[in-house]
Amino acid sequence: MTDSSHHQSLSGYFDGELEPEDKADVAQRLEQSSDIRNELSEIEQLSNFLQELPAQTAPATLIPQVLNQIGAAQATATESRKPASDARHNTVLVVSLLATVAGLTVMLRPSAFRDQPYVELPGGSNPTAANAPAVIPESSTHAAVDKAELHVDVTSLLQACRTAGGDVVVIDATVADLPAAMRAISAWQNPSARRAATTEEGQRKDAGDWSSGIYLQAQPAELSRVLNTMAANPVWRRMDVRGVVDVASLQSDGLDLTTRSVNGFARATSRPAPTAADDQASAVSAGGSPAGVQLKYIPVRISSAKLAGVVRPRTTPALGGSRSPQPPSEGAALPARQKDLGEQPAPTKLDKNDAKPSTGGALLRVVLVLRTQTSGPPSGQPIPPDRPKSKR
Amino acid sequence: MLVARYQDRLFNMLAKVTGSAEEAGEIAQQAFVLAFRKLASFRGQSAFYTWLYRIAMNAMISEKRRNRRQSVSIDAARERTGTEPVDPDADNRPAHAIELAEQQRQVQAALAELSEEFRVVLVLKEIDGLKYEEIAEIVDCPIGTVRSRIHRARNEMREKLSRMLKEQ
Repeated sequence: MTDSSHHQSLSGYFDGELEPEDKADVAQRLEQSSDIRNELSEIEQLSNFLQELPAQTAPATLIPQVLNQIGAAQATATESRKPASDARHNTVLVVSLLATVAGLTVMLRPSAFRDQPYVELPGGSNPTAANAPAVIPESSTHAAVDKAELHVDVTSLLQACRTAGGDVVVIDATVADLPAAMRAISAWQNPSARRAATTEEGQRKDAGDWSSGIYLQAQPAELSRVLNTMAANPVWRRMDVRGVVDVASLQSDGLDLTTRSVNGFARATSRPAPTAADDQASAVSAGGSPAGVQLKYIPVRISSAKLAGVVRPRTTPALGGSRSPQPPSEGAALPARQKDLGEQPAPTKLDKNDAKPSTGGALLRVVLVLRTQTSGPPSGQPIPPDRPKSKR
Repeated sequence: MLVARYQDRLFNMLAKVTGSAEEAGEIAQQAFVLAFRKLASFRGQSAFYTWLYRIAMNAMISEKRRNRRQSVSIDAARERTGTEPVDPDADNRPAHAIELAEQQRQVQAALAELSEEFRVVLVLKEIDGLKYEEIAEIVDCPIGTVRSRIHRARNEMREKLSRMLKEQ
């Protein structure tokens, strides 16, 4: 045994952490050496000094703070254990509505865990929080709900969607009841997609970094129906247009909205090509499954940082979700394109000022990404992101 | 409730390690919330407080990385915590109280000057009275490393407090 290990053994001896053989060895050396006895004495004195330091008690605010934070997280944690992600409590739903087509991406993120990163897009870099532009101000969601500014303006959302032309409009929405919100989202999917989602989620439940995704294709009227259905549900509190991203920039990082297979986990169901009458009928239908809907379910990986990194500020006024329940006047934000698109079934503006907060509900940040395109290929065909826009 | 049962113990340990009551409170809060979230993964193979301490240690490391906080001087720590080492019977024994306060100030200063990895194991050993095995589990390193760190931490403390130790 070296001299250093002798000294280390003395420390272990004092702590009662030596094997019997080593303990006997130290005891023998203690008998033989006054230096070692002095050293042991100093260790004992030092221990006394440390134990005499005044104990500090937790502040009275600790328990209430913990309970508040747990209470806020409990609903989201419970929900996130259900169908999709587990460890990260993130859910990503990607819904793209195409044809004269619009795409819609939904990312759900429990606000209580907002400090955790989203899953990264495959092949993409993950900007740090410091250099990634913020899509959504940190203060917006809670403040909006706390002040009961409950407002979903589908007209504005559709205006943004239908006039953004090829880009992706990012919508920041707020919900207060995650389970109900998830059920609402589930209602958008047809049974085939739900089965596919369940299968994929089950297979990848342990992946950790995985978040589920849903990819829908539909006529614009279907977008109106989906948004109205969503807005009619009291779990959705507020939606604000936050910015515009370039579809190509998302796709360059692996989020492929144009093919049937994204990240190798595509599931698709097809329905007959729609007719104009179908479009009109589905637009005014609040429920049921409208004709002309092509649905794909595609699990994807996406990070908020990546999404944030490609968002650029809107050059047009923000749409919807303002304190005022009034939507922008027709043509106020993007008038020319709106007229070019022709008359579409009027979406319903839903003011949710009467909605009551869900007791025990969890706040959840939802980002909808509405992809628009002024014309599209025949139903069921992929649409290139950079396809030239044409008037209807 | 688990928070009520462990809050003082956890807070005291964190306050000693971080030198800041404010920081200790933040980390303790994070630790309890994280423990709640991870409760399903607690398999009972270790004591609950060991598991909780490990979560707190990880939270502290994350917090340190985020804030890049440096170890504060004991004076700064005392200013932040408002904690003065005071003997409860100081009024009756003013001379002893002053002496004890000075002794505790020196010990706290020496502790604050240790590297974090040494300070953590020493606090867990001396103030929490944990076994090496438990400390190893909390700081996620082999028992041999814990043994070595405690030994070296004590050596550093003995050097810093050599005059005081010889006076005893």
